[in-house]
Amino acid sequence: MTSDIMADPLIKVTELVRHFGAVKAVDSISFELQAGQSVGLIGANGAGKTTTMRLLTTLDLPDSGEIIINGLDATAWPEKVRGRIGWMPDNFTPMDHTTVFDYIDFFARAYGLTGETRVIEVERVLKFCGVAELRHRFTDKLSKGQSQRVSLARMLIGNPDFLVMDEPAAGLDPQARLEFKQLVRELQKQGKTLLISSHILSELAEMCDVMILMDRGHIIRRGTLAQLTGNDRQGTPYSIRPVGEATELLAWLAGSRDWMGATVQSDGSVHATCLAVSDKDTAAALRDLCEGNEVLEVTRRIANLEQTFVNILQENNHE
Amino acid sequence: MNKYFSDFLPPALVRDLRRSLRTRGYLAMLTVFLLVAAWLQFDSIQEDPVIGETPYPLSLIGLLVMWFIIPSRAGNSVAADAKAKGSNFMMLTPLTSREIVWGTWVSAVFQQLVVAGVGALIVWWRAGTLPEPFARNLWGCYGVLVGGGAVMSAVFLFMSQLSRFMRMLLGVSVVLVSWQVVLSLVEMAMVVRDFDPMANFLSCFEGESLYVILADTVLVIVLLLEFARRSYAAPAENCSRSVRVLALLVPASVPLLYYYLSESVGEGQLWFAACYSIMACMSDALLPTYSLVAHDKRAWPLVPAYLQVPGVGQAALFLLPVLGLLAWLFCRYTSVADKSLPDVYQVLLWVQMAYTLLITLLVTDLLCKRDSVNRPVVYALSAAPLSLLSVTVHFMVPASLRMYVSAALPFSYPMLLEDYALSQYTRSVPNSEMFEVEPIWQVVISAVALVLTLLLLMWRGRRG
Repeated sequence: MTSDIMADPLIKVTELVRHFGAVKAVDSISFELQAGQSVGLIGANGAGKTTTMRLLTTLDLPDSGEIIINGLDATAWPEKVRGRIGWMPDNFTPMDHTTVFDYIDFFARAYGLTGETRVIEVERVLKFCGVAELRHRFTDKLSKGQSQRVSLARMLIGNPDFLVMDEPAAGLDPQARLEFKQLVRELQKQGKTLLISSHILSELAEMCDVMILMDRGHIIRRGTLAQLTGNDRQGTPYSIRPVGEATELLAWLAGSRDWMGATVQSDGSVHATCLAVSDKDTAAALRDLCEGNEVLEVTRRIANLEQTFVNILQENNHE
Repeated sequence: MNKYFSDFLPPALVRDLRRSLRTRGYLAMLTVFLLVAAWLQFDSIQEDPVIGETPYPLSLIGLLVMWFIIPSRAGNSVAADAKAKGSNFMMLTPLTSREIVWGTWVSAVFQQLVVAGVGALIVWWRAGTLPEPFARNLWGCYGVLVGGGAVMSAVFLFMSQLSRFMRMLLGVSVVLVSWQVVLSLVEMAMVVRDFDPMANFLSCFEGESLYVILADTVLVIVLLLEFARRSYAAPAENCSRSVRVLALLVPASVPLLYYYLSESVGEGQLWFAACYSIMACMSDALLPTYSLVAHDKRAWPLVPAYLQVPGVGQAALFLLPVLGLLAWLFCRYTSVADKSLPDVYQVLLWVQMAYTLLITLLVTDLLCKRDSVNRPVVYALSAAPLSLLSVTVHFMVPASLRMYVSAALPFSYPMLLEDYALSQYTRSVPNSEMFEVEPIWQVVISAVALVLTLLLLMWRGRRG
């Protein structure tokens, strides 16, 4: 349900440009992030995702354009917005001869936390990220999963509102990825605004409300997962495998008010869209289908994310 | 660990102290080195007081520990941060680049004081057995090691963005040249005292001289650390502004000093201010230019915004008032009738200095790309290996050709001055072999070298 009055966005990017010599890393992109939103940034290698993130986190200056974070111009007053931004890059950089506790404590001190407040905050982030038992281990002796957690703990020091994560789950084993996703969900429940980039599209789909697709420095598509994959269209697509030829099935589907758009596929199955809205009506439509035809298999079709992404890129290249 | 470190300590200092305390074995090793050096030094004095008072064992080993090992670790720490892009995370914190760099420097100085402090106990214990001038000279040497170590830490932080090889190469050169300068000052003091080994050499550096030297040392450290903070500077941070302030303030303070200092010390300060300011401006000019978003509240209202941002043009424009101020100061405070140095030698020195400034620029151009952030560092510190090269060549050529070859080499003015001093000395000593020098030919040779360097620079500039 769309509200007629939208709250001011937390992040507003307008016509952002960043060139490195002849390379247009970011070429006039614009987008907005609402407070509490989780946005996924998708793109091939070299699309401009990391550059965009570095510009948003004020680690780089744009050649032109504007970045407004919580009402403040980040390009004019980067030092004022930095305290409200947390950044987690794709690789953890350990400090030599430094334990996990010293590492987090250093950043807590750097953020101006003192005394008991600092001690409590350090304990909080260590516990939240599940690395409290690693406090005495040196940062250059951590596994990939452990170092990502410590990197997350460092990002959370100072309780920033806006979190930018560049491929946070890259290189993690399945168990570590699962645990990491749980941490991200916790952050979403706390109302944090997240911008996450990843190549693992299925995970982004699980974690993010909105996706932004980038290619060669441009934003080529944005929207919810359903909008990007076409799953928001009216009706639910199904794949139906008939016994024998599909001719009779096609005729039946064409005469049915509950079905539309039936087409035969190369493997002999039939793709059609069920127009029923409620579960009860859908169940009735499926029952009629099975009773009126000899059907081997009925499967709900969900668009393949990776294929969707590739299709969109190809469309963009042709344009 | 929170119990041990108060919140008023800079975070970077706390971090580096924790790291250094975890390497206790390394600190213990350095302390043992220094103790051995101090012990050897006292033994050599007791065997032969005349020769043994020259503090070579203490100076060589102490030099290695205090001027090279500890400072290079500080530089490596910053370099490791830069290489691993750890400095990015620090940019996101309220910590300023100045706080981080100063914290790292203080940590390095703390390590030097710990090592030196333990060695000082031995020096103090054994110094009681020595006659007065030896003890004072030894303490003076120890003080130079510690004070010089603080400067070397700043130098290595200044070099932190160079590759490890370049850091080591320039670092070794700087250490060797600096120690050679210190030993030369000791030798000069011996000449002043007519080679009396019982003299207190360091009396030349007492009273107002000592305070001036300490102040100048602090100024050099501040300048080096201001350049070093580039490693942690955020994209919109203007690292040129503070350097230009120093370049103007240092000579501007000279008139004030003249009221309180003796004429010779005041004139020495004038030369220091000139070298300091010109070096600061030339290094500033080599800082890469990047677009800055100038905000009204950050600009000095009376100075155009254009002049406040980094850039060659802006630095050159800033150099003009610095040179004007220096020229006025030189005219005001050095117009003395009885100049000890003949006019032709003064011309030679000016030509040599211009030649040195330009050839260092040429070397920098050969070693660094135009957009490299390391150009100021290579420019400022390539003086050391160039001067080592000059000294080596100077002593390798036959004596009859030496003064002319020196004129063609950069950084030769100390040797040229030495030639002049020796020629005057031999002139005054009866029955000595006369040491003849033809200064006019030295001027011509230096001028030709200067013009060739300028043409090469212009040619490279046109090539882009």
